[in-house]
Amino acid sequence: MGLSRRDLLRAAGLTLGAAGTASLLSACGAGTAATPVENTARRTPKPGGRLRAAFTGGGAAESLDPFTGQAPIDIVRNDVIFDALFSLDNGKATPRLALTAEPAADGRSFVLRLREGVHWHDGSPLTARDVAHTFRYLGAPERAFPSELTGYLDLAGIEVRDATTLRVPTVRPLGDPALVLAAFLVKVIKDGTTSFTPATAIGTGPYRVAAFEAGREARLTRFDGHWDIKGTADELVLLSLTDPQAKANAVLTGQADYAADIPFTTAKTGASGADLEVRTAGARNRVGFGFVLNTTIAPFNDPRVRRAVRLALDRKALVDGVFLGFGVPGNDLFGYGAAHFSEREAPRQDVDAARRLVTEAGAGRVPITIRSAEYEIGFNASTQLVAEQLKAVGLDVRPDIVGVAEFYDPAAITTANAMTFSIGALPLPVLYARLASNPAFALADPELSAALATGLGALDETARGAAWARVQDVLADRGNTVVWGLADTLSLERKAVAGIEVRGLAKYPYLGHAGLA
Amino acid sequence: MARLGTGALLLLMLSLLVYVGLDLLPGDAATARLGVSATPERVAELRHRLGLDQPVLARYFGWLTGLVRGDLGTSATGKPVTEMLSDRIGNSALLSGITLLLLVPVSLGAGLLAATRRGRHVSAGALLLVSVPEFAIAGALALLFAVTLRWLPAVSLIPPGDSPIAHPEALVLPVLSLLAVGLSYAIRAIRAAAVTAAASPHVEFLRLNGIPPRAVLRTAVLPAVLPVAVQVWLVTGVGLVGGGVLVEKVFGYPGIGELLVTSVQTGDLPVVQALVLVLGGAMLAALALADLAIVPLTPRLRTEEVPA
Repeated sequence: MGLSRRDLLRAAGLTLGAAGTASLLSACGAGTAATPVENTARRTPKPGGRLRAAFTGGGAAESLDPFTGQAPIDIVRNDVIFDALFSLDNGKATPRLALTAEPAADGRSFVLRLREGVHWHDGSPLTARDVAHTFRYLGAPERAFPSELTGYLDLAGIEVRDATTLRVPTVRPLGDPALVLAAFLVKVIKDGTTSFTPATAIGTGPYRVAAFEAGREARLTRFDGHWDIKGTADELVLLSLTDPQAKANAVLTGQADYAADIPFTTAKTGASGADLEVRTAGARNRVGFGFVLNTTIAPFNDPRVRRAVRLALDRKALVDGVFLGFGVPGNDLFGYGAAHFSEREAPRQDVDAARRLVTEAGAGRVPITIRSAEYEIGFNASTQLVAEQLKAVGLDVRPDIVGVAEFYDPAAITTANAMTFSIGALPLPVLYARLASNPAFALADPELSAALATGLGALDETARGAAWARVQDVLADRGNTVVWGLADTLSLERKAVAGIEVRGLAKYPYLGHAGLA
Repeated sequence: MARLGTGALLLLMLSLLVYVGLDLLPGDAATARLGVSATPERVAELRHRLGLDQPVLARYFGWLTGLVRGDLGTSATGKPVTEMLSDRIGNSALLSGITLLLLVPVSLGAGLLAATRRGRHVSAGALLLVSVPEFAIAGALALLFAVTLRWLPAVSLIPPGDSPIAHPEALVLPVLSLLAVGLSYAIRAIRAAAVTAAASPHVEFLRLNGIPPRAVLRTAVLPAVLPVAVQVWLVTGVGLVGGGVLVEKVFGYPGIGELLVTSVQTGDLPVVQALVLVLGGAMLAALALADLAIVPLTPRLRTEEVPA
């Protein structure tokens, strides 16, 4: 019973259905496909009013707990209810509730200084005890999901120095702890909080919860006691939808003002109606799409075959075919948009050279599987296109398309030759630490390891910069990342929508200053 | 009583099948949640925390004892499954209930009409509709009535705390989509029964004796069609709850369909298991009801003692 072949076929058909609807729309001539308008801060929203925004939801699993909710709508909603210690702005850590994170001389601990004059939604002041509670909660063994931060910080060893200062020990030297805290968007919860109902989800952010129901919507009202620039709209209504076409339909029919992260097909269709437009989060906020090659097994343990893959790709064709033109070719390095990212040229396609390398390495006889799931729109399509392109240079590639839930199965990762990947403007220390944490994604290379350690642990900014340059030199030369394209993050909006900001990833915009112009 | 026992036994078998079967599917909450950071050690640790490292049968019996107490366990998100399901099951039942209320008279009328020469277009239409998947119907209806004509909302947004019944306009398109799906099958089944009945010797006898067509329909055709129709309606009704999965997703309707889709994607097995069991149990109940309904509708079964 239950999940039968029929359901699977239906699920497969749904994607086709969404695409079909989109093409139908364009066939009707309802849309005017145009270049998307960049979402810039030039337009200023008028204070007051109500902004209704549709995001991809997580159904009944959605939560007001900032460390539990993982769906895009959870992240966006909890971003305006709670404040982070540091946030990411243009790839750099910006102080929010914390002012500084000063590393000790050995990088093995840091002193966190908090902003004064911050108040919770209930009027009480923010203190170091709240932050200590937040870290304790993050690492609490009774919570189902421990934070990835436990790989950087010794959460049990945190000590409160005074009302606004804490000392945080680390498990490895961190040269720029603020950047790591920013990357994980550590949102601060109030001391003693363990449950997150609309009444108990108290933050310091510009909006407070008026009503919330998982999988439906959240109504947030402006908190006038906010320490920073106050919220713009009087009310934010966040609508939770799981179907991408439903998100777009909500805007098309006037039920919402803004639909985040819409599919490329929907963007291609364009906005029907004079007061609507398709917008992008801008070139800076493009997301890298590509693959990570498994260097622990043949044939990608041979740098020549890795090089062959990079030379074999027709990046333009992939950008046109998968992103429908909403993007540009990538240069095989992840972390576009982050500080210290190396903006070198993308390798030129050279099919003959790629074929030579494959023959030289004798890699044509080794069957290669590329594991993919529709984790992001375009993953499976790109995998299939890339497989065709690699076959043309003599590699025996077969895509292994699986369900989203099983995509990162550890046993399967170990045996797959490549995994489909996408990474946005994640800070390089976190991005490379993440790749290094799994042998199937890592590149065992002494020069790389040394450079990574310096990049993560060096106290001197210049030394870190030099280390990240070296890391990316090694990866460009013999690395295992293949980033064929940088995709635009697209949204469908009423023209009046303004003030949408990006703190970190454009897929999860910051709505604290958004409203209608 | 024996029927009840059989039903309970079937339900028990179904629960085992659901639990073990879904457990065997690749992927679980640990890998789904950890994503890129899914190293073997972290996955093992998380599986331990979620209790996924216990033998499947031990987990099944633990689940079963909870089930008896009405506790469906804890979702991988840490929320009680019962809480996640409660109002969503009601919302989905509401959707299929309204659909069923419309389905019964419309499918009976259209099915009987389709059995006649005049109704051959109805018959052909139903045949055509039966081959269109529900999400395509839903998508097309949304495109026509919401995006193009702007008569109805494209997305069924129900504010927190409200029941969908307070927002009837949000129910129209989901109900129409489900109705289209249910109708096509029900019309075909009722038409087939009506055609068979109309060709039977006793109907021919009545007709040849000059009994008016209306009376023939009422006294001979309808009694033969009803037992079939009731079964079709009941089974379709439950099927609507399951078939509504994609319809609900297209309209963002807060029922169990959306929940099922998101739970499958996040490998949240406790929720999927509970949902599948609820759907399976409802189907068993509908089949049992259909069995019972045949008796009063079939004179032969009413008068004779039939071994169960």
